[in-house]
Amino acid sequence: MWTIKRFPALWLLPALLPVALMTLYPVAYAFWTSLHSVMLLFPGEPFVGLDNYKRVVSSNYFHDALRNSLVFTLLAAPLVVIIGTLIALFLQRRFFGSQVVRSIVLLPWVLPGAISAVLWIWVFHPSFGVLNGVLRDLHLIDSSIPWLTSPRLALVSVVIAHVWTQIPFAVVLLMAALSGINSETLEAAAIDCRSALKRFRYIVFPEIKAMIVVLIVYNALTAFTSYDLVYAMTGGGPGTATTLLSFQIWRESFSMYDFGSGSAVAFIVVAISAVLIVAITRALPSDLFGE
Amino acid sequence: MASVELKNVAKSFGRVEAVRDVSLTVEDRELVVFVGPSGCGKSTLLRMIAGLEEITSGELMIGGKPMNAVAAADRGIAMVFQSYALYPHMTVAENMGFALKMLGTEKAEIDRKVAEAAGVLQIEELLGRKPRELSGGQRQRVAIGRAIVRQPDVFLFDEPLSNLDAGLRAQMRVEIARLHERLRTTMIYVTHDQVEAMTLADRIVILNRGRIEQQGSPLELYEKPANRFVAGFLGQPKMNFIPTIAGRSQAGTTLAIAVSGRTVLKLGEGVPVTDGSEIELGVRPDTISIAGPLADLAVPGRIVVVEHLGGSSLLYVQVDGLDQLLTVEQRGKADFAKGQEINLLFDTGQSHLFDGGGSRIGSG
Repeated sequence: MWTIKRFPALWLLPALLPVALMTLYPVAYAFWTSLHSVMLLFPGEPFVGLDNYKRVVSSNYFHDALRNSLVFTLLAAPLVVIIGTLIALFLQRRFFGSQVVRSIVLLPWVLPGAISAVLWIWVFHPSFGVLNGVLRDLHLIDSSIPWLTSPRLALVSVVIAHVWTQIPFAVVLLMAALSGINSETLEAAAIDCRSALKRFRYIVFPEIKAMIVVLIVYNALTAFTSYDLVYAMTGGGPGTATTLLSFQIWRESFSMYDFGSGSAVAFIVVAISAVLIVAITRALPSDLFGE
Repeated sequence: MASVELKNVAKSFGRVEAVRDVSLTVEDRELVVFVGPSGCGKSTLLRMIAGLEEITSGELMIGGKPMNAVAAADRGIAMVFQSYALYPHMTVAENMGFALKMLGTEKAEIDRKVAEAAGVLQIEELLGRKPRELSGGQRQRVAIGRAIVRQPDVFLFDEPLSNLDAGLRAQMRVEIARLHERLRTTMIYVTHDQVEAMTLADRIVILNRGRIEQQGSPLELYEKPANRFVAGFLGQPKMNFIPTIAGRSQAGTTLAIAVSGRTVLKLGEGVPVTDGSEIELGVRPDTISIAGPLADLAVPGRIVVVEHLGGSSLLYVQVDGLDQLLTVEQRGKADFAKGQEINLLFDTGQSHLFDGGGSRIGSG
């Protein structure tokens, strides 16, 4: 009999084949590449074992990029979710013009990364930048702050820009999660507890926790693999102050034409991402990931 | 223990006036039911008492203290919602103890009070479960338990039984009545179900379009409705309304069906109607009797539908000159058939007369 129970794998094939073709094959090929010396300028693709990994890991460039990527991720992912939650909570309220504000909040979402980058370059510009202008007008600073050209500030600046681009998505999902809470449950809570902060902690947060975990995981991955916005804003500079691991993948592969090393970096990124996901879902257990 | 006092309370949502100029006192330990059709403002009124809705104008006092500006959590009330509104991620015990936990009550004390309330409602074996593992009736018990644990001055119920099936609703209705007996706390109960209102209430407040139409004990309202709305709202099956014309002569005052001119009722002395005025005659289905064809003032009609309810039968009767079928309730197991011609007799003493504006003039 052709029942689903009898040949489960067979019935799943139509769905699994495209996945295999589009995802598994490229990943497997990349892994194969990372174990071979694949250079555009040299014919032959000899097996080199972990040599590619050893070489990229031992470079100073990798150390800088890894540190920057981790700092970038650890700052950006929580910030996106925390600010996103605050905005979502605020936008849940009905007030005069709330519909307009809701639409405006979504605006950064529709801008391509490169355009957001141009916007933020102008915000942070040392001479004409809005930010320096405002700070000067408020007499908080005497001379312009070199946001994008001082190493430490540059990383903070690109984090701010990145967070700005990612918030709308978080806000939309969190508003969806918030609107899923029974309004009478919230009213019952208002009768049971005076403190809005406690009500959020005990009633609202548990209800949106699954969504928050999803968003933290998603944003950790987005930040850890981020490329376009940061590259367009600073090109990784000054020096290597804003160089991310994704830059190294590009550099090894398309600047050095050493696809083996590029793939090796890519696989290190995948491995660290996997560790991040496990760490986040362990730290914040929710029904979603089989508590 | 507290009374609830409303003085000229009104609520508008933008231009919509949901509640208009309601003044009302709910005495300490009284069970008052707000009843009315949907959109009559009964839930809004309750939510204003709870502090979930701001009061646009007027004054609210609970236990003699002004409450307009007091947060819901500080009003000494507990509320049971239509959707139960349990906290989904908490166990039954945590749900019931939540308010006390927020007040900083000691754990042992919370456990004791939760166990006590669970005992009253016979839900001890559910304490460790999550709301999603409970049936509708069990959830409602937990919601009531959560209210009891707080030991509030005033219980508020917002259509708590409307999500339950008919059998369970009847059972929970009795339990809420017994709970009121036992706790002797002020309770305000909102429903659109007039059976719930009649069976539970010490006093019923009938609302319509944001105003109080009438308030009083269930029987008072049933027997002496102030107007056509109250008369039509209370009572199951509903009261029959017959448009009639009054006629005055030396023989007395009579009412005749407006269209057919057939005299149906002889009024007693002193009923203030003028000759030729339009009077709406209200007759409850169980006060109509069936007479022989020669009886004085008998109204001939033809049975269109018969509903046998076991102990009684409902007859829907077509009467010449009336658009609507008359509902007649007959006790006992008498045999009636569709199409049968019968003669109806109205009881002067149990008829209600309403003027053109729907206000009660008196009884026959």
